[in-house]
Amino acid sequence: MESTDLIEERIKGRLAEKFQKNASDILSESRLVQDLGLDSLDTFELLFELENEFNIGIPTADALAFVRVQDVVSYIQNKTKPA
Amino acid sequence: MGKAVPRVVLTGLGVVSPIGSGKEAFWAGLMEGRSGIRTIQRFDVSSYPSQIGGEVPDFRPEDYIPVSKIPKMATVTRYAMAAAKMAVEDGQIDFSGIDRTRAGVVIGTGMGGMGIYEVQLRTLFETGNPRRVHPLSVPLATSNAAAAEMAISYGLKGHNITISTACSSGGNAIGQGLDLIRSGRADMIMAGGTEACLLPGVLAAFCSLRTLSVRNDAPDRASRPFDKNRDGFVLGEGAGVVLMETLESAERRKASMYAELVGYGCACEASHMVSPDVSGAEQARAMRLALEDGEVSPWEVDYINTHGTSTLLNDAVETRAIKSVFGRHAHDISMNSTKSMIGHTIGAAGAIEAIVCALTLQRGRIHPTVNIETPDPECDLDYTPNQARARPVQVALSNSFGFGSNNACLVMRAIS
Repeated sequence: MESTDLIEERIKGRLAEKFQKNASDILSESRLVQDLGLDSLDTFELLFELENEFNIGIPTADALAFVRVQDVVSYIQNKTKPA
Repeated sequence: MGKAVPRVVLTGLGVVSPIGSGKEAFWAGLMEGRSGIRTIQRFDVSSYPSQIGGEVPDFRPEDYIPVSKIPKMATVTRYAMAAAKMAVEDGQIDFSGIDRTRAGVVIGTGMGGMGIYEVQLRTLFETGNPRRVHPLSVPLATSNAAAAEMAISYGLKGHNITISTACSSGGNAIGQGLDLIRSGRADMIMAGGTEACLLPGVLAAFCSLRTLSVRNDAPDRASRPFDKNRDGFVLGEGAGVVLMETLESAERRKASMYAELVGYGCACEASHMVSPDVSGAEQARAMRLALEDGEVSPWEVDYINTHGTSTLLNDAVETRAIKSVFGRHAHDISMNSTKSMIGHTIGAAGAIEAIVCALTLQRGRIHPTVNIETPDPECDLDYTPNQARARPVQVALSNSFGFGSNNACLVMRAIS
């Protein structure tokens, strides 16, 4: 089982790399749209990469609830918990 | 002293659609509120997030195209050729009696011959052998194949133009036709749009963009423009072609006329490839430009065929834009979304919907927007929910707003 810290680190790493931010700018509290400047296409690309990386599906309806980085991290932590 | 700008009228119509081909079958389907959306049959969609679409049922190319030519045309071209033949017969035009160097073709398509690409690329990658790519691939797949084949079929030697502006291609094509006739470059244009994009790769791409409805368990209720529970658009296929000519030409040959095409407005938002600017300002500007172009006052408009895609954003933004143009009069305008029944036919949409406007002006009946079950407070105009209505119409507006934020609007007047 992946440690929750490691999931958080991977997600923040993806965000930093993909959107050319400093890792130090990606805080759990950072809002995807307002703070990190993601638009709707960026968000869909992020979902696409996370789905592939963690081997999960993220329905659009669930993704509409993602506001902060922490929302994404918690969601993936939940989805990848062993049953 | 300059020549007067010619007036332009529509004298022939042809349509291929998920609810019927030929103007009478199409109109009957619209009046009944019949949905053409089903689970996609032609390939296995079981692993797709969205599994539904508006396929053209029972299309027989041999009814419209000489049998020897059919294999040399992609499906997207066949749809256009069928619609063209219907428009020519409907318009009772004999091209041998006119100066064909002044008759042209303008066709819109979003994806063109993508069906050919999908098959040939699969062959190339699976065999690893370039020589297995079919020799007709280029003429089959080229985006201008439909326009070119129409010209070849009827000997039309004027401008031959293909327009690709995504969801507004058909609207832009008809607008371009209007401009060509008004500028004196042509006396007659066959204009329209065509799309055959229900394909494995294209469907996957739209699914990944998360813009399609996933209401797979109830396909005929999935396309629900302006309804509170809309969840995206549904892809459709088909073609629409109109015969347009100068009023003088139509009168000279005693052609019957559906409507006068009076205005065309085009405004790019220059903001985002996919999402509309939520203020609706540039959609409103396209409508205002079309009205000004047609010398039509907003309060004369009694019918709008909306872009009405059934996405959360478009339907709310378009409503806002309409209100900003028409003010309180917006509530007195009858509106509808043809996409509620045939889905979003991308490059064909603007043309098919212009045909709906022409028929509406001629017949004084407004087709319903189906599947409006729960009103959305952000969409509170009269979209003619669920039931067709009789209403004589004098001025019709047709909106087509494309990905890449190109907004096109056409205005037509009833023939007096």
